[in-house]
Amino acid sequence: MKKNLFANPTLFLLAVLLVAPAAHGVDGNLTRIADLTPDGVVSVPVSERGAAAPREAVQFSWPLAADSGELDLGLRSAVARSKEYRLDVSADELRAGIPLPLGSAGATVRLNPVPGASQKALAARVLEPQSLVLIDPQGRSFADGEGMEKIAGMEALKAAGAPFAEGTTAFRLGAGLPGEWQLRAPELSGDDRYTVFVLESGSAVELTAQTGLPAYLTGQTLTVRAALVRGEERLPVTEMRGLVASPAGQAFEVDWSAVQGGYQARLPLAVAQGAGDGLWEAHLSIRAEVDGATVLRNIKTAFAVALPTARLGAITARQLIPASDGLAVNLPLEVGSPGRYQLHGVLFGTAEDGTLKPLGVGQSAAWLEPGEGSLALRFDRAVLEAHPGVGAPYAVRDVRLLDQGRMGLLETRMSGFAVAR
Amino acid sequence: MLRKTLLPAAVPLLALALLLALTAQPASAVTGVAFVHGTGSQTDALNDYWKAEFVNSVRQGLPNSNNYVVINCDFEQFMWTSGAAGCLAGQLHSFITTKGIDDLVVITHSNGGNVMRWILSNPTWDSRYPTIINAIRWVNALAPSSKGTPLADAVTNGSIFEQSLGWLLGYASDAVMMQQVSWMAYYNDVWLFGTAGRPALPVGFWNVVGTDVETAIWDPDSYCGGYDLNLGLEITQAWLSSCSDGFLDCSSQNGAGFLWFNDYQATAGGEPLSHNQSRRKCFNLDVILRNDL
Repeated sequence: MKKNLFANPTLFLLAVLLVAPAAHGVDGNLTRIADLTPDGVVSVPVSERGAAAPREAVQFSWPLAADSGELDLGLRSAVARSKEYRLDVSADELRAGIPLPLGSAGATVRLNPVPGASQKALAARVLEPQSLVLIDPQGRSFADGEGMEKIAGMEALKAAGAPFAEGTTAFRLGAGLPGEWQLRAPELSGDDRYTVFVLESGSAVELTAQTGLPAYLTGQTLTVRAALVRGEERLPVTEMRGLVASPAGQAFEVDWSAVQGGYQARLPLAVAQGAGDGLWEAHLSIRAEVDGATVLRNIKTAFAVALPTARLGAITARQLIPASDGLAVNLPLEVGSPGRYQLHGVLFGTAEDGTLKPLGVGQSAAWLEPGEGSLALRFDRAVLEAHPGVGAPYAVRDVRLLDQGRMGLLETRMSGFAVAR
Repeated sequence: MLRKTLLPAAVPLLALALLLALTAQPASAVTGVAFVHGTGSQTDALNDYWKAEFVNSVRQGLPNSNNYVVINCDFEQFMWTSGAAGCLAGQLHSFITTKGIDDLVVITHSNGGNVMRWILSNPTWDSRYPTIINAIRWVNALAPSSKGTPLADAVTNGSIFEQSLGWLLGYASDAVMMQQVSWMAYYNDVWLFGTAGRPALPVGFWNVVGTDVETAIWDPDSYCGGYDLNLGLEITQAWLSSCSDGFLDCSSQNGAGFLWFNDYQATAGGEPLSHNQSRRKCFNLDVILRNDL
């Protein structure tokens, strides 16, 4: 039974919940997460790339060596960390001087003209570090590269192979007092835009962010936890802005409201199918006062959003397929949209002490049309015989259904199912 | 899965090569080697990315030194695209089937390791993938960006709060976007294997880790691979941890698969390999790779 989640199947509302409590840091226990489970399936057309996906079914399995490492099944979202902040300023503002709050010595400052924001050629707008004036918290002025270490002009950064924005230059501040510095560019004027990045790698204060899941389905609620930390200490935040950006470049600003232990926001978000390759990103910008000094930080972290184009059906022992050279398990699917789907599972066997041991990985993929379908996971004899003394009864764990053409994780069943031979 | 051990500096290379030759290669194997470049769109990777002196030195370790291929693909794209993994699969599959290779050593550099790992992790994506995987003895991953790099985050940062996301996204290629740290964390958790806690890859993925960048102007070692390139890498270390090759943290380089060696454990004089030097004929790296074939 196919179910459309939305009146217009290509649009949906994604409620966004952002929680950035000053008192609640990133929960280390968040690394093990419940299954991703679709409530239904949607019908969407095949994308251009999806249409080019191979039509032939492919199965493959491989054994896992006993010493290949302990498995930690379950979706895990990473903790992003930042000691960097960004200022977007005009040429006039740079001429007058912009404040650079620094919490530690040795910060790296990077500047680039904003492309597309001026008729002037980028090359004419490059800010070479030697042309800048720095004023320290005691009012002392530094010019002509004084007070700077490791000055990097545009060519040196290009040579490094990191594709910084055209016209980017950088320098590292030498030893100096923490506090509010000022950066001036006396030669500039006008409304041309510049971006200034400050990386305080020597600071103990960092902003962390972590999404609740690494992958979501449309209609689910995104959660982001964030905290400003100094070691184990949680620091209060005085100002914060957040937004969610789609892979296609749509940005949805988030309004914050205080809740118990932090802040939250809800955002109706319309997203069309084919929102673009790549991932979504949650961005956060904060200001805080730490020990009487201003601290700025920006951070971003990525997550995926998939349309629920198919889902797993009920799995029972009746799906077993006898196989002389291995073990095959047929899993039913409910397919909402045509596409190439991938099934994944890890086969576990029972050791002599009764514990389950991983034997190998199985994958299967095929093109499926809407309706009732199935994919068979096949584990070759090499998998079944991977470890002497480990055999039936078997279980399949870490079952995952993926949409290859749309690059989406559709469903997980980490505990999987038992298999009787 | 075939295994190899850490290359200890004290073990004579000849003895180790003999040991590996006895234990690694299947009987009557036709051995080949493939060179897989990193981020970038290459049409002449032999000269533009690797340099012929490096490739020619490594392939001398083959029983038939003509059994090699230098991959030329568009690795500015996302790793799973037809221009990236699809192109790599096409060239590897053609090489394997044309030359009858059944004992393939793949040498990757940087993001090339991710594209290779995509094929190893998603064997059902394409019917050519199983043939390729079954022919591979192991992958020698030179400074792979398995967990991304903060530098990729830095270069894709921009004025997102000023509704100018369009130009922001235009800064970096899809491949650079993909190598941001949180992006690679997602791909490692959902689509790729070989990282801690995830199932192992179907073949060995052995990392060569670059741990430092030397740019002392009086030190001739700083000039191997190009002094200017190494100078730039020293600057980018500001975004990285104390152990890095100027482009990638050591933790990223050893983030998937197994450690083969840290540069100082095996290179001539224990010299570090900057991210630029780990694809060049520097400090005996070519000989180490040659003896591994």
